[in-house]
Amino acid sequence: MLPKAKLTKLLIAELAAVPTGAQEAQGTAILKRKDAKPTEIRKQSAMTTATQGHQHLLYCVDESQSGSTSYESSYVDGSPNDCYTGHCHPWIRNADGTITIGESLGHTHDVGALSASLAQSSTVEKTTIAEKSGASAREKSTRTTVVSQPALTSTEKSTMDPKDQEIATLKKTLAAVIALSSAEHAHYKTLSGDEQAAFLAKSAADRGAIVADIAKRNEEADKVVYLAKSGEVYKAKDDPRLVEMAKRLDAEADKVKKAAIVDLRKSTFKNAAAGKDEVLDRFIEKHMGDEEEMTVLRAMVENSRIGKGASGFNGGADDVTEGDDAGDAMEKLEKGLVAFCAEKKIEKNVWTDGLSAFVKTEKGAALKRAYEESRAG
Amino acid sequence: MKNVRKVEVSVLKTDAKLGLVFGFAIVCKTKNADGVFEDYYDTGSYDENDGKVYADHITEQAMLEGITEFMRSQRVATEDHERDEADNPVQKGTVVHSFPLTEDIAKSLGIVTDKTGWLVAMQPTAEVFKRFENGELRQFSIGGGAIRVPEKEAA
Repeated sequence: MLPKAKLTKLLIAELAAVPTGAQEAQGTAILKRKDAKPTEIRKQSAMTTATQGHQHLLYCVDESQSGSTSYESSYVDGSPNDCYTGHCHPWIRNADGTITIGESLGHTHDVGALSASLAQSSTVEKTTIAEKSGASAREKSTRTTVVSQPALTSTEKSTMDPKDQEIATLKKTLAAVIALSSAEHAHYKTLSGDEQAAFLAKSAADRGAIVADIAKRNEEADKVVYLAKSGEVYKAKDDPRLVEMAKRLDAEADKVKKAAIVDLRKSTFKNAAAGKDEVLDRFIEKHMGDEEEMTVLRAMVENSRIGKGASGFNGGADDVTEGDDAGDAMEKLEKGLVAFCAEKKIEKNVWTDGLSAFVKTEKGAALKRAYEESRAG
Repeated sequence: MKNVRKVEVSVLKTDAKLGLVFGFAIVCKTKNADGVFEDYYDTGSYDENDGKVYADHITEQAMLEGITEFMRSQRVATEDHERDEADNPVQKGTVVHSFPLTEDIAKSLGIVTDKTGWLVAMQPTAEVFKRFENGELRQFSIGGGAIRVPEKEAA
């Protein structure tokens, strides 16, 4: 048997002719209209946070264990044209009282603002709502007021039913969000509920200035401050300690590498072992690990510097500047040889087969002659 | 406690000449098998506030007060609670006669009846009246509001 109730304070607005009614005795019925003023409505709704330019309403979150959000249109990223697709989300209350909003159209939302209706009722307990997004639950928070909608005008407030006010406010919010530019919307999505409302309340000029300032700051932050030898790019927005660490590591690596080169030179080239020889070091650095090239290079060094001991590969000059010493002639010969081999697609035996072919050309012969002259001098 | 007697009574009568439809718009009490008036409870309706379905009884006092105000200011008749874009009732007739038939009034006036409530005569538009005549429309339904008091709370 159904629970019984008495209806008092009857307020009749109309008498309707209907096919069937609830009162079987004479075919009439009381329609318990939702907007009946004598009936106290103590439902609480919630609005989700904005994702892809839209928000949803969650109804009766103060008493329901699950449900479906309102049906809204959503901009689908990546569509070739503007594409608005309607959808809603399932939601469920978890064992700890939090609410999880399900995914739809590849996205989900957090629980955002709650309606003020419950907060205004003195007979209903405040409801604790927590939010969950994906797998990461956030801390519980108690909310009892609406926080993220643009305010209605005083005229609207005075003439509208509270429910209608809430709907009108939500419509205004949605319209305002949709009207945002892409840059403004990108910024809007990063804001919290209160900040979103404040942002929407600003003039278009103020919002434009905010996003322009953000764009400028982002540009500054994206400037490259250091390119590590590993290829890692460090920007101004990165932690300065990381940048310093990368520089320090590179310096350490340079130091180790230079030491290895010197060791290699000393152990390989007897005649270049005693003194500084930057040209030779550059060759060594370039050809480290290529034993064939190193063998050729070793032969060239031995042939060119036998008996000269510590004078080194570059003739003993400490400051190697391009074009003014024997080392430079050697470097020019090598550059020409490398270019020649690249053109002829000679990838192996550069200093033997490649050099033999190169010196047969006019340019190669000239470079080799210059190198031999510099050596003789 | 005896079960409420369910009486299948639709609109009692129509008058084609005047375009009137007569009937009970509200039933408050019905007589049981012993001829004693008992509170009448309807077949139940959903309460959005607590999610329960209640069988409602409209007291004679609530009926009397409610229809007095309605007949003084409204008298609006609609078809199936139709609404316009502004959510206002689309009027398709007028309630032209109204009588609060309570148990006391019936007894005082010597009226013999097996139920009490609100007796009305609706004068709908010709189109709506035809639907009454061909049986598409058979009953009345009140649009409005009320405060529901569950029986255990009332006790």
